[in-house]
Amino acid sequence: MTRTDSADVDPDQHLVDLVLRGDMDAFDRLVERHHVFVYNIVHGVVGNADEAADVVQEVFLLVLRKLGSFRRGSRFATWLYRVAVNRALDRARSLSRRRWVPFAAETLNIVDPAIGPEAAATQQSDADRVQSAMSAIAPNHRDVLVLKYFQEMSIEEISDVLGCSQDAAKVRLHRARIHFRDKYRSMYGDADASL
Amino acid sequence: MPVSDRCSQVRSLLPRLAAGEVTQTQADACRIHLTACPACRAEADAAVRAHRALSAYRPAPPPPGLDRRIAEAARVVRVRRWAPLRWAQAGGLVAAAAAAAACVQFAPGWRITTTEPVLSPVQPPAVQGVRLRPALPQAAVRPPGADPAPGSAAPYEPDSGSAQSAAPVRAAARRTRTHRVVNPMPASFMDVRDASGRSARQIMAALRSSGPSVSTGAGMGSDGAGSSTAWRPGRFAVPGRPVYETRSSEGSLQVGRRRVRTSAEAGWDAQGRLSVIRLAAEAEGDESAVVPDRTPK
Repeated sequence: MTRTDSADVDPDQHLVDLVLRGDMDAFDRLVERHHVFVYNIVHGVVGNADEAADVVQEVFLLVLRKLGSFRRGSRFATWLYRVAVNRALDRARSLSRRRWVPFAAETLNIVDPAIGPEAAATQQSDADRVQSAMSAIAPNHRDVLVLKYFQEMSIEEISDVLGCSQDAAKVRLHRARIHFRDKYRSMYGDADASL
Repeated sequence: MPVSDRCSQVRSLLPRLAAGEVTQTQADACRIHLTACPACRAEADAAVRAHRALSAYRPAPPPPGLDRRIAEAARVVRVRRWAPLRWAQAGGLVAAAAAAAACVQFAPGWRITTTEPVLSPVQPPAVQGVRLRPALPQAAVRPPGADPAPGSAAPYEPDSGSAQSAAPVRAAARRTRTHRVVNPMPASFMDVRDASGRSARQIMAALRSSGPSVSTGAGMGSDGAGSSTAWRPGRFAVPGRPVYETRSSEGSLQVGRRRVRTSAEAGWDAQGRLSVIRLAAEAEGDESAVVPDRTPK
């Protein structure tokens, strides 16, 4: 991820300036730098690989069009991720209204070559369960879980991306965890786990 | 089982306890309670399982070439700024063209003509169990003497293989028309007219004023009927015809009681001129007609 803990220097600022001067190669570098992260956010919220790819493209094109209104005081990455979350939420709500939400089976082939096929199968099964449970909770709970768990953001970063206070982000995360736990439990029952 | 105040206090901490976000004092207090309370213990186990599952999840990688696709789309947006017809307008017009394509199929009497209609009248293959209608109106004709050259595009042909596989399971009528356009973009788009000579924009306006709601997510949304669905790279190629880049977009509109999904795909040559446009309309829930959609890969 390109987020940084230092609030002083935005590593993307130079590229942003170049893009504003018409340098599309600089935009390419911004895309290259951030598209995986943006895709992961969007895919976690939307839950469909094809839809996610479309939304990611929309996000970058929107950012390109609106780059002139980007405020210098804020981080480009934070702004980009906020746009991504908002667009992903819009798409997820739209999909749920239309009931066209095939939650991605194609994304489950995440096999680490370093682990054996048995462990890989278990990992796939776990990923399947997580995605199924994620698809069963509200989109505005998915986003905060995606940022926290999939993207491993801090509460401060989550609050920046979601555009809310840290306390509000904590409350939202707490509720999302409870909803996810309940869904996960209702879908897959109880199994051994210990504190 | 009644839940005591102590249980409520502990349960409120469980998600954070599972994530290791409580103080040592809070964790110790919780563990003492959990050893004595099976109900809360079950809640805690569920919280731990959920947390572990979330923590172990690894996001899927993006599809290969996504960054390149975005970069190409961004250049199209930029390039259209100096194009004779602004990109946003083009998007709106293609949206209108997609809607007009739907009108052709579902509102008898309308017809789209282009400067170079190239399609042959086709009859869809018979598919067992599915009643078929003729695929295209007679308006879609090949120009006189325009035999297809070897290797030239066959943008719309009945494909018995795809029909056989798609028809039994689809409850929709999909009709696709592809038009090659020889003019530069403004002229070719503006040549989309119905039998009365109305332009695509006028058709859209008439649809709106006559009652059915019209919406489309196509293009950049300059037509006021919808907006902001970005174009994405199309997946069709036209052999023998220079298509430098393709873009597609989808929309929908209401025609009477029928919801019609429309899509438009357009291809530009290396000079930024429109080279081909492919329009499709699909009515949801209509089993009376099935036309195979064959997009050249």
